[in-house]
Amino acid sequence: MQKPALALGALAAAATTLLAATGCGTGGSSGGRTGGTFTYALGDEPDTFNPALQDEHTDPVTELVFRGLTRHDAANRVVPGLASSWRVSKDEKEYTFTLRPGLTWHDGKPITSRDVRFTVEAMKGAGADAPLSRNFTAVSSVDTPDDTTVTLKLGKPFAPLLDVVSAGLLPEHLLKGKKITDAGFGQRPVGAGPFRLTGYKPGQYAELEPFDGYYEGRPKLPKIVVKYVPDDTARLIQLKNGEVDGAHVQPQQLAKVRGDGRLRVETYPTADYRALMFNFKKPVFADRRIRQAMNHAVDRDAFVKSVLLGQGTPATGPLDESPYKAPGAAPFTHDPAKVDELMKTAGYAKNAQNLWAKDGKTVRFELSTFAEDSSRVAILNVAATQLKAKGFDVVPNPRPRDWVRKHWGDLEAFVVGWGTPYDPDTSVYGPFHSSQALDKGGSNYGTYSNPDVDKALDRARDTSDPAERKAAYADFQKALAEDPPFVWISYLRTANAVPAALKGPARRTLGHHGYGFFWNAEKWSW
Amino acid sequence: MTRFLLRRAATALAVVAALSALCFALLDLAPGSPAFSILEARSGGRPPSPAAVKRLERDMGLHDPLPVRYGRWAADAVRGDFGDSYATGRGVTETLADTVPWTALLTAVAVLLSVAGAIAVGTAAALTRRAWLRRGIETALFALGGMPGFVAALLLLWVFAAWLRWFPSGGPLRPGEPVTLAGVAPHLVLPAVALAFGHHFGTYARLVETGVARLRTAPHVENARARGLRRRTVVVRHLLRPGLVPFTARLGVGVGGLIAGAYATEMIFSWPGVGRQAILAAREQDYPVLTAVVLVTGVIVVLANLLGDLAVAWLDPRVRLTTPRGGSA
Repeated sequence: MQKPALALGALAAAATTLLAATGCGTGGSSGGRTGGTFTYALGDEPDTFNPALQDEHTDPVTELVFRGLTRHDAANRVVPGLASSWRVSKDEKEYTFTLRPGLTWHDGKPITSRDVRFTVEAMKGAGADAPLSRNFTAVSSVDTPDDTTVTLKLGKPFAPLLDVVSAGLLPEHLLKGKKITDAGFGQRPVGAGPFRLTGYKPGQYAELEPFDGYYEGRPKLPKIVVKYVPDDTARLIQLKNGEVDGAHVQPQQLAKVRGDGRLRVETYPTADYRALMFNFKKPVFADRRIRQAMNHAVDRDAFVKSVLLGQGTPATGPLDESPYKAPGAAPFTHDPAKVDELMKTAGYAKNAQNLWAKDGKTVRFELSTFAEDSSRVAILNVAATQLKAKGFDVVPNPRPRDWVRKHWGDLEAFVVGWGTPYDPDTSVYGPFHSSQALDKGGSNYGTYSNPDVDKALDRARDTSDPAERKAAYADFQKALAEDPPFVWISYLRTANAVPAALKGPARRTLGHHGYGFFWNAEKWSW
Repeated sequence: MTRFLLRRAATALAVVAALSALCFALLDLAPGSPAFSILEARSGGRPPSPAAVKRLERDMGLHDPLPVRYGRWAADAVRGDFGDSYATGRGVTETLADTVPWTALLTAVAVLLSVAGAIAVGTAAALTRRAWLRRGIETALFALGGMPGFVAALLLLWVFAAWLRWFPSGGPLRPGEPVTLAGVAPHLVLPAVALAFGHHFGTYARLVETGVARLRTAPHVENARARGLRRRTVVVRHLLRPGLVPFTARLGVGVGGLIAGAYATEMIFSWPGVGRQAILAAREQDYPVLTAVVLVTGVIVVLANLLGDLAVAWLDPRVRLTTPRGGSA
């Protein structure tokens, strides 16, 4: 009988299909390579490389392609960028910048003061399209007395101005008459930064080459490729295989990367914190002693260890990672005795369920967050468990992102994230000033209102005298500690793996999402 | 035959029109707002203020009633203009032109692998007399059938990309490389195999097996054998051709499932296709892109069903004979 032979033949055909499919090709080069193209993988691909459409964060490509009038050094202080120097008038309403001589755009066209005027007016005029535009509403007019001098005139003093002009300068000759959201420019940007974009395949990668005309000289890396790999596991595999040289790595992947001699892990602090926000329209949060008690009830070290796997630092206020952090402004420690004391003075006693209660009512509230964000859900669960153990009647309930977007006003408590490494104004005025309450269209989602906080925030905004601002933010932090709007949990750390041979990456406190790793890439080499 | 095709084309058109209206209505019912997503993306993931969202919604024309918006979209769409992506501002047509070919390549290769594999394995299982081989195939198919597609994809990734390092783990090419067969082929292997064998492969192989096994002792096969026809002729013409009808009918429907599988596969293997685009668009509430992707997928599924029907008609003359009002057969 021939039947078995035929069966085997069919099986062989099946095997051949598989083998034909698997026979050819190999993985990327493996290990030990130095010099040449530096390929870096990350998960998030931006919608656009236009810096005007990126607020409080700048993705790596945009950061490499663009430069602003000012920039930040390793300590996040403002230092000269495209402007070599500036002068501020006595009344702090006039900022005069002098551009470096002989600057050009990546396409060879000269950079003049008119580009600065165009950029400021475009960002200010972007309105609803660009959240960043709020930074430029204080500018009333822009004068360009000559090609390298530009004066920004303000209606009233606006202290963060030097900080906000670190946003990438836009070329007038390419964007004039176009919308700020122009897709052509967003996908093929032209800036004055150290690297120019030479190729972009949406969904795949962006290619950058050093810019000969960069004002600090041609960068040393011959080429940078930023590859978009959305899947965390795939990114790790590509890193281990040598398909990419560097990558953003998740906390749970660090152990696998640390064992690899070819790689070095760069771990930087960020100003991005997680906290529990309260809705002040709910009477349960009215007594500030309850909120103080909850700030003493959470064990922040346990959060860092369990949820963040060590990739974080305890948070006790919104400016812990800022140069404006006030000494002694971190009063919240894990202190069960203090919790008991505060709750008892507030008139609460433990009931049969071991929960704090007053007039038969417990401190009951729903703690929510975006159900899709697994790390926030982890924070939510640990926070709920810790608070419950200390007698607070917390009901953990993550909710879908889309539901939350429509119901901010209905939430009782929520795991939020804020913080900036730059001028503090941008990340404390919105969430904590009473004029920014949710009903008024602002981002004070919990409708927190405290006159002392308002006063301090206004003072810090209206002066650019460093000592005065420092004092104002110290008052702000003191007022927040006495009347806490949040239970602060932790600042996040961000980790990037790079080849052991790569020289140059330098630690700096980074912003939201840990973006900013490439801040000094013009000095990198290998 | 022409009439049959014309009627099917008309049905397809109606399906696509209904699909677009349904897609529009469903997206409108979905909570949240595209303006919110856009602004959130432009401020590093921070929630935008409700006032800013309202302003942008007005600018985007999202406050117009649903029929007005659908009418506007449909009027452009029939001229081939699917609008611009909310997120990137790129033309949707351009985005589709970038992504559809990659998905087409991936699914085409996966379908071929899946069909070839199912026929080979199914026939082997049906015709072998070795119990161990049949049982082995059965066990393997059972395991495959119980494994979600993305698990199969991750397994392949770990074994062949991470551990053995035979294949690159993602993307269609090395960055900067021109598109060539030699460049794409090694990158295509893992996603295509994952897609082919991770989605209903077990069902297909079993359909082939039962289809063929059922006919092994059928009178026409016995007759063919008695006439002394060559074994290959008996198997191919008298066993396989009629035996593959249930499998082929199921395959036409299964392409829809395969495309759904392509979504997850593309995400895992960083394959720059429509599926990955759809997931990103859904996340960002990028309705113009999402609507167009749904339509394209719909058209492909309708076409696949049509091809399936035609293939069944070719394999099984009885289907042709029962076509209403005669036809050419």
